[in-house]
Amino acid sequence: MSRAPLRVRIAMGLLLCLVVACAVAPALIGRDPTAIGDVLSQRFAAPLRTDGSGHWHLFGTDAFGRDVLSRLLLAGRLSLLVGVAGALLSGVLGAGLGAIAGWKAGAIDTIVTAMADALQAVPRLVLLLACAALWRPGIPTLLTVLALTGWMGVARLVRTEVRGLMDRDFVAAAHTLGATPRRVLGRHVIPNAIAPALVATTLGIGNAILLESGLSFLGLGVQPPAPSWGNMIAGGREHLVTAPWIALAPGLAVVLTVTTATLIGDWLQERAAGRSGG
Amino acid sequence: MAHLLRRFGTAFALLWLVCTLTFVLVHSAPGDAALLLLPPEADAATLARLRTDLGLDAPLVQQYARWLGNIARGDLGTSLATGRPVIEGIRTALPVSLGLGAASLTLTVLCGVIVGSIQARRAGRALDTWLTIASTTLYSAPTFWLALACVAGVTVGAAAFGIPPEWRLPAFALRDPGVLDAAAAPLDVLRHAILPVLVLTITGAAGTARFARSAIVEAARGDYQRTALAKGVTARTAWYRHVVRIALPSIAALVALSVPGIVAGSVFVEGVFAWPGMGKLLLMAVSQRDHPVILAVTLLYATAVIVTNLLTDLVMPRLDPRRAVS
Repeated sequence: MSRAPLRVRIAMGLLLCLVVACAVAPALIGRDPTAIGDVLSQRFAAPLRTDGSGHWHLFGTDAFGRDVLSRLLLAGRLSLLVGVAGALLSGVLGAGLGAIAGWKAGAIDTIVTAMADALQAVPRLVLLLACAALWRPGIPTLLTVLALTGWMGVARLVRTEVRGLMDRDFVAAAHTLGATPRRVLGRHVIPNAIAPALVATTLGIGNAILLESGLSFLGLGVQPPAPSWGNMIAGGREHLVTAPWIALAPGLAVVLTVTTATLIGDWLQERAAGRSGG
Repeated sequence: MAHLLRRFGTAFALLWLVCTLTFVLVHSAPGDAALLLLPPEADAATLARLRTDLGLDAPLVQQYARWLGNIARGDLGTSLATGRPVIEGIRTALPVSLGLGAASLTLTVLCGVIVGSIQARRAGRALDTWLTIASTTLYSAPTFWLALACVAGVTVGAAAFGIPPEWRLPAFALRDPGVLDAAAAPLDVLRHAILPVLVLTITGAAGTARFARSAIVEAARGDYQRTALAKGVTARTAWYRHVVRIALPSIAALVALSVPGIVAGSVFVEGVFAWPGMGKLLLMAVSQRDHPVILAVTLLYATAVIVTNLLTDLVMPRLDPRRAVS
């Protein structure tokens, strides 16, 4: 395995730090980050300042005197979880549909390809908005909708990959040796077709986190009081002119996560392309 | 000619499929228009009567046929929230969004290709790495967050730097209500357009630069540049005529790819900057659960994407003779 370039190693380090910080955040903070204390003395403390009761805050406090950093780390748990789960679900759905379409050909292939074409013609955000508006907003809806609108890219990749593999000698050999179609697909085709799907799924994580934050910002994703980066930004919007840090700090977390995830995904993609290219 | 017809046929089939999918989507969701229109305490008889009036009690296939027929005639239905034809709202919102979209698409492609080309020429060197990190960061920033940062910048930020109010950029709306002079009005709209176009261009160009860079690097790997250099053309000519020119078809395909992104971005940008365009219309409809408007806007966006793809396919053979179909 070739060593990753410096920027990818830095990205991995930063992402790891953020994930660990989110995971252990409540233990790190000690007190309940959602609890509301003495509002009047503690609210709207600017970043890097102490509030009225003597606590120091890296990112300041919000309208209820809650520490923005601790809430941000807590929100990261949901945002990261929804992002990773959404990307994984759409990756699995895409790999499944792509494999079936490539394997079966004929009518099933036509249907899957046509569905993918139609869904890709609608901008994903618009599709998400329409779905989120029609069903009850919340995490289950969010995950379902992310999976249903994100499988097309992976499906295309896996379909092409499976098509190519079916002409290979080792697949023909497996058939000749009497392996059942299911075994050929499961043991010989899918394992060889999965690499590009994995890379696409990794790149999809950043996208899913962005979409989650967007929908939560519009009130259609994670519902308050459960904090997510998107609904924290929405909550800070009305204080944008007096206390801009409330809305802007969670966005920094989104930018950090998505940038590092994309840099890592790009590198994986380059590696995969280099390997298949020779 | 047969190729053209087939291409148009595919586009229409795709449009029909999108219509059908959105219809299925709406009708598989819980609740219907009658439930939304009436107060929760309405009795079953009133509900049933309204359902008959709206044609909601007809078999689904019949509803689908009627809905499709209406769309084919250009009738997009009536808004549940305002009781007026959906087309009226779209007629005022569409020009606003088209202006915003056209301006940002042009700037996006221009800036994206220029930055991508600079990066590709110095691929692997420090400037390329820094620009990659910068474009990835901007590409990863949520559009609505960038927009909010801009609003904070022209309000609190400008105040902190002591910039006088008349020099500050307006943060919201399409025009100033105070500007009544017909000569000053276009300039006023232009001033209001700076921030929305800026935000859309930043995110769009960052994505475009990423793709343009790899397209141009790919073209530089071909033999064209080496052959041109061997023939004795200058390095500059070899770069622009035999590398960037070779990458143009891929970049044209990229324009088509960036349309959905600009549409999605404009929804947020119009929402944050209070621009009365299609994105704002969609957001309003979503918050009011106004099904006919949501459907109409979704279909229009899909049409825009399908038409751009079609146009790109038609332009492609002109840019790249190798792809010409006789």
